[in-house]
Amino acid sequence: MNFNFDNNRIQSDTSRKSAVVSRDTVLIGIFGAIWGLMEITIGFTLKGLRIPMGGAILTAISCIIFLTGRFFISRHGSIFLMGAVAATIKVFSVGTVIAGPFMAILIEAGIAEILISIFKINRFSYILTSVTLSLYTIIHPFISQGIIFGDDIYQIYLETFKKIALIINLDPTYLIWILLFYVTIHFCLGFFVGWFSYSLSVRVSREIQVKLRHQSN
Amino acid sequence: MKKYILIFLIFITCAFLISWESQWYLALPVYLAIGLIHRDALRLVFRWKFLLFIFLILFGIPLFLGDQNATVLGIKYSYEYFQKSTVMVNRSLIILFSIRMVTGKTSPEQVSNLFKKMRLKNFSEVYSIAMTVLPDLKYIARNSFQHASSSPPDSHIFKKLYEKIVILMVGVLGLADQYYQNQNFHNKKH
Repeated sequence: MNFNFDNNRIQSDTSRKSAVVSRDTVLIGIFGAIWGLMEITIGFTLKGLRIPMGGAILTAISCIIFLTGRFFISRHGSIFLMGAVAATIKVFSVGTVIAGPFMAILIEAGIAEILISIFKINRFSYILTSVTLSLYTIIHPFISQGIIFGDDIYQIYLETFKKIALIINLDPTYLIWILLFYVTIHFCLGFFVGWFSYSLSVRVSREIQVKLRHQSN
Repeated sequence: MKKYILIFLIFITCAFLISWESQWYLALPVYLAIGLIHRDALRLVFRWKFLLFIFLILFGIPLFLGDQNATVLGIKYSYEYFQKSTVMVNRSLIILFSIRMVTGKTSPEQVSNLFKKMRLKNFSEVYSIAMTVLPDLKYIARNSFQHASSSPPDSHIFKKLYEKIVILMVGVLGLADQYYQNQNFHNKKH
């Protein structure tokens, strides 16, 4: 495969108008397609197998894809565009519009876009984005169930836990510890993913530089 | 599409306004309307998993939670939680049926157009690129993973996976560059 990159990073040339497709547009399209492909294949597999923390795992893989993509794109709004492409691909894969995953991808992309736009591209922003999205996967079901069932569902959850705790002789304060443990796992996963995504992006950038040097020799 | 979104919003408002007293004259007309607009939306009730879920909310919760202050056929249950469960079931049914109605009446092309109307810059361009490169991406993904399997057998499984991902990403960026060059060449030619 021949590389014709202008620099060690793929240069943004959004200044070129209309007829010429910009490099950023191509990269957004391609990374959006990878994200969409992943959502179809791994997403459906995880859902089918009902793996615990499936949502967090799927979000982690998505983060690696769009954060690596964003490293090579200098355009604001690119993560949201990638998300829009991925969401539409997921819609096409089923044949009809499925509202849940469609909204989840867009919310994910929106949060990531805001954070990366504020904190720019660096290891800290990558970790922050991944941790935020990973933690968001914990509260997402509660938000969606709150919308669907109303406020009463929270009271039912709390009462059910108290009742179960009473049956198995568990102190209700353990709920805080269980929650803390769950949050810690998600935090660690997000931290690792953010760290990994940035390292991966740097490594890929270096690999491209090496390939370019080989080609120029 | 606009018409269905408006109807959807009306139904969702009904779902949010629902209470123990108002549920029957709010919920029943909505079910009827959804049945008339898009009958397939109601097919959800024929799924046993869904029925089991509704059954558990409607009867499981009042039997398990709250003060068991009411009796039916000698079985004690909580009247307060029965009221809450009924409202919850009606609210969730209206929302789920409404979503199915609006999505059943919307095509993926209309969703794509919606993004364009949201003024997402270059969405149609980006989307057409994504659809064009999908087969190439599958090929690159397969190749990257086969290539990396020739790495030293004693290397750690995570290191192997990492190398595979690096190769995949380099391949993807190469594809992006090739696509970009081809497009430019094609445009210059014309």
